[in-house]
Amino acid sequence: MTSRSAVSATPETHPEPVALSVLLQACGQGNRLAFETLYRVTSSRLFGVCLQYVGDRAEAEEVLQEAYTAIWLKAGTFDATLSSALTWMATLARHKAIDRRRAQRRHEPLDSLAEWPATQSVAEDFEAHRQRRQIDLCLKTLGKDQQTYIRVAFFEGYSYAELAARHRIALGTMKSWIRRGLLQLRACLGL
Amino acid sequence: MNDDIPPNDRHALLIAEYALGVLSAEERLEVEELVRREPAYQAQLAAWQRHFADWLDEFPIVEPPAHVWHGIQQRLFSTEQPAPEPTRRWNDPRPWRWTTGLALAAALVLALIVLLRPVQVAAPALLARLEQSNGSLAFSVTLQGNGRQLLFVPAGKPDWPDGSAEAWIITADGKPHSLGLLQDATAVTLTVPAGLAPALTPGAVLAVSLEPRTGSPTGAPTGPVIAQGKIIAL
Repeated sequence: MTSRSAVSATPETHPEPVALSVLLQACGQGNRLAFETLYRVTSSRLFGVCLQYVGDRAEAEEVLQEAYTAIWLKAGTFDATLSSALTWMATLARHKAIDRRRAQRRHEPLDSLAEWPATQSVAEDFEAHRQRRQIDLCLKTLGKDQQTYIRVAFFEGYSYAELAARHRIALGTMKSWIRRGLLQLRACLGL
Repeated sequence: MNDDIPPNDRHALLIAEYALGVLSAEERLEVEELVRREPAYQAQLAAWQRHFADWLDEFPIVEPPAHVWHGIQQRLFSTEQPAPEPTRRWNDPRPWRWTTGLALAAALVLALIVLLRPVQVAAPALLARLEQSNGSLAFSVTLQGNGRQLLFVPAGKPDWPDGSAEAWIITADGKPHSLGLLQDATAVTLTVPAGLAPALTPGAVLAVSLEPRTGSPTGAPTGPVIAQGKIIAL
């Protein structure tokens, strides 16, 4: 997290997204050298995503392999006008990881609320960095439960039913909080 | 629970739920189909994903073990079985082996669609992979924007505690010319001096050497070369 912010704070590093985008497009044309380069410079980011959702390291490694296999096969469908290469790749990895987590069907101890608190309680130094981010600004306009469970849903990767069971909240209430929250977020973000 | 959601918002809501990650596998297929049919939804989904990407940045950065890359190569390019190929474009020779006129026409239409697509990125068409003597990748270098900016992205976590790393281009006469110093662990853009711009062609060699903290005092590499590679066209 710190290294990421350090990187984005340096103006000279702004071209990086362009370079990744070009590498990803080259993968779409079957360029294996570009693929290896892309893997070398992005795999630690994507592995972090996999580990977040799939606690078991060996399984997270498998998910990472699945993710890069899909990245190679789908690179031709990447549209640089819609998203950055890193967002596209990380989103793909996140979906693979969420699928794996749900397939595990484990009942893990409930620890995530402490790990991923709602926006208000986040440490101040980090808060300063986040102030600039539109999604966090908009999230603050929601009710407290909505804020909490939208973040929890994102960081845990569970379905409505699993979230409701884990946090001992009625399914209807959970759905309603998150859906109302998403609609409000959508309006705030201008989507 | 959809009862209290206005019907007009249902699709928009599904897309948001998809991006958040709360849908079941079947519901996600439904959204993927919806997005494929409707470009406006595709843009909306991409917008949600851009916003949520800020949260992805909060995840830790963890280097995966080396065998993961071997596994990926095994899955995709293993010689025992035909490799699954990515979605191909106009420069793929395979479509031309198809024999029917229909297939040929389809390939031509595809070629036109691809060629007529707007240029999305001011594409740096050159890439250099700077490798260590053991063959592992140390830096990837791409040519940016106006054709005079070289972006050096370190592949691992480079570490030169007592000095600096200096980037060089070796011109056709075999002489090294300094491009500047590379900070550790971050991507660095170096501007190529106007006089050296013509040297940025496929086949030219880029190298990185270890130097005193303020760079080579002589104008030529004085320390060991830690990475080098040729510029190739992408």
